[in-house]
Amino acid sequence: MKNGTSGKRMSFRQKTCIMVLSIYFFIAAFAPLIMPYEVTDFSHPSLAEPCRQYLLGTDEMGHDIFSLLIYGFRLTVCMALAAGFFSTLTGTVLAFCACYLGKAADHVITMTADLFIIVPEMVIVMFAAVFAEPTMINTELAIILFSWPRVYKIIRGKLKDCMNSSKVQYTMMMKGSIADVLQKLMPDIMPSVQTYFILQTNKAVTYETTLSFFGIGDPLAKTWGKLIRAAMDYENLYYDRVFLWYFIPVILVVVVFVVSLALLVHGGE
Amino acid sequence: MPGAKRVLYAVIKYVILLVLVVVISFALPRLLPGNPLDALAGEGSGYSGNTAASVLKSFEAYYAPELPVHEQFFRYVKNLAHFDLGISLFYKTPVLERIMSAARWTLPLSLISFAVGAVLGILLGVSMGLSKKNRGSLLVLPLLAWQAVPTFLVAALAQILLAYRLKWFPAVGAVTPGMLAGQPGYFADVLEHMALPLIILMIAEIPSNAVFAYHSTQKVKKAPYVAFAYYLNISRRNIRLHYIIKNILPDLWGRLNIQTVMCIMGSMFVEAVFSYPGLGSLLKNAASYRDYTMMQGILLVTCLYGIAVNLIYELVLGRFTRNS
Repeated sequence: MKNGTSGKRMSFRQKTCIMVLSIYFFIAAFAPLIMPYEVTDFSHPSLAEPCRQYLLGTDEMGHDIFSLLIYGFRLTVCMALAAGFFSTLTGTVLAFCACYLGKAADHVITMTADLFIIVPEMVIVMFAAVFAEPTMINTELAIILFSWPRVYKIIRGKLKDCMNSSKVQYTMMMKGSIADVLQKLMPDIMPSVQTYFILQTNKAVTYETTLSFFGIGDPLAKTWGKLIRAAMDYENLYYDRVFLWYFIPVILVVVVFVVSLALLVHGGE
Repeated sequence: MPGAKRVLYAVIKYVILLVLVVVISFALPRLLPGNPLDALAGEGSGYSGNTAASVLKSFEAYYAPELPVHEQFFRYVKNLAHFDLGISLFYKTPVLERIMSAARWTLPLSLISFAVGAVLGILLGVSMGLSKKNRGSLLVLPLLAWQAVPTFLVAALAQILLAYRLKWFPAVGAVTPGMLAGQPGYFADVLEHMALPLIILMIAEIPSNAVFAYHSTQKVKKAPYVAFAYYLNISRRNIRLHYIIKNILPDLWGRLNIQTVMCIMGSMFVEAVFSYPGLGSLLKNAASYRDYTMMQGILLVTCLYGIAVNLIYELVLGRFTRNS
C-alpha cells in the first residue's frame, strides 16, 4: 500500500479526494455561519417540505434538517478526526514501547492487541459505550480504546524491521537516548502512521454512525449518525417522499466522506 | 514445530485469551464512569425510581453489587460455568436462551453470505489479477469505495427502495406474522424474507475479498517461479491452477479467518435494519433499553465465537502449510 499524503506527485484521484475533504473541513469550521437556524430551535412547522426557507424541510419535531446536517459536519468530522488521531497515536506509542522495551512488554501488549483483533471489535466498542454514561466523550473514548490494535500491529511490524537496521543499532550502541532512537525511526514509520491516521478516521465515522444507529451515545449530540437514526425512527419515512430530504442527504454526506477518506490512501499501486 | 506441540501452544494461547475476555466482560462494566453497578450499589440511587422492582431484583441477584469485588468475580465465573448468563432485564427471560434462539437466524445468514461472498470475491479478484493488460485494476477503486460504505446504510437504503417502494421483498422480520413452522409455505416464506438481507451481506463481503485476492495474485504473478514456468512452456491453465492460485491460498486463508469473525458483525447490522430476529435485533434492543445482562451475554458469546473461529483456522492452517 502506498501512502497517500506524503507522495511527491499526487494522482488525480488523490487531488479530488483532498478537494472533497477540504470542503468538509471548511463546512465543519464555519458551520455556525452556514446554518440558517440554531440546532435547538424547533419552533418551525413540523414536516415542512423543502422550500427556500427550509432547504431540506423540517423533521417531525420542527427542527430545520439542513441546519442539523450542517451542524453534524462539525460534530462528526471533529470527533472522527480526534478518534483517528488518538487511536493512531496510542497504537504507535504502544508499538514503540513494545519494540523498545521488548520481551515482557512486547508479549503483554501484543496479546492484548490480538484479543481485540480476533473478536469483533465493534461489539466491544458497543459494550463499553452502553455501560458508560452516554456522553460524546465516552463514546469517543470507547472508539479510541478499542481501535488502536490494528494500528499497533502494523506499526510494530514496521518498527521491528527498522530496529534491526544499522542506523538504529548504531544509535543504541552509542547509548543514544529514547529521543535519539525515535528520531532515527521516525522517517521510516511516518508514512504508515499517516496512512493509518486517515484509515482510522474513516473507521471512526463508520463506528460513530453505527453506534448512533444502535441508539448508543449522547442523544443530544446531533451527529450524522443520530440524524440517520432519527430519520429511520420516523414511522412514515417510507410511505411518501419524506425520505428524499430527511434521509438521503445525510446518507450521501456520510458516504462521500468515508469514500473520499478511503480512496485517499488506497489503491493506485 | 512438531504437530502436537503446535496444537498445545495454540490451545494455551486461546485459553489465555478466553480468560481475558471473561475478565474484561466482568471488569469493564465496573470500571466505566457512570456505570449502573456503581449507581445501584449506592443507596437511594436514581435507578429505583424508574426501574421496575422485579428488574431491579434480578439485576441485584445476578450482579450482587453489595459483595466485595473478588466475591463478585467468583460468583460471575461460577455462573458462567453453569452457562448462566443471567436474566435479560428487557425480555425477562434467560439471556443464553435468547441468544441461542437468535443465533439460529444469524448463523445461516452470516455463514451463507460469507461463503458465497468469499467465493465470488476471490474469483473476481483472481480474474482481475490475471486479466490481460491489467484491465482488472480499473475495478479496484470502485470496489474500495464500496468497501468503505457502512453496510447498515446500504441495508437501510435497500430497505426503502427495494422493499418499501418497489415491494420486491418483504421489508421486516424473518417470517410473515402468524406463519407457523411446519405450515405449508413456511419454508418459502422464510427464504423470501431472508433474500434481501442475504443479498446485501453477500455484496458487502465481495469487495474486501476481491481486492485482497487481486493484490495477492499480482504479487504471485510477478514471482520468479511463475516467470520461469512461462519459459518452460507450461500451459497457461496449469500455471494458473498450480502456480498462481495454489500460492495465493495461504494468504487468502488468513484473510478468510478475519472475514469469518467479521461476518457476524455485518450480519448483526443488517439484521438490526430489517428487524430480523437474530443477534442484531437483540443487540439493538439491548443497547436501546440498556439491557446490561444481555449486552454482557452478547459480548461473551461473540468473543467465544471469535476465539473458536481463530483456533480452528490456526489448527487447520498448520496442516495446510505442512502438506503443501
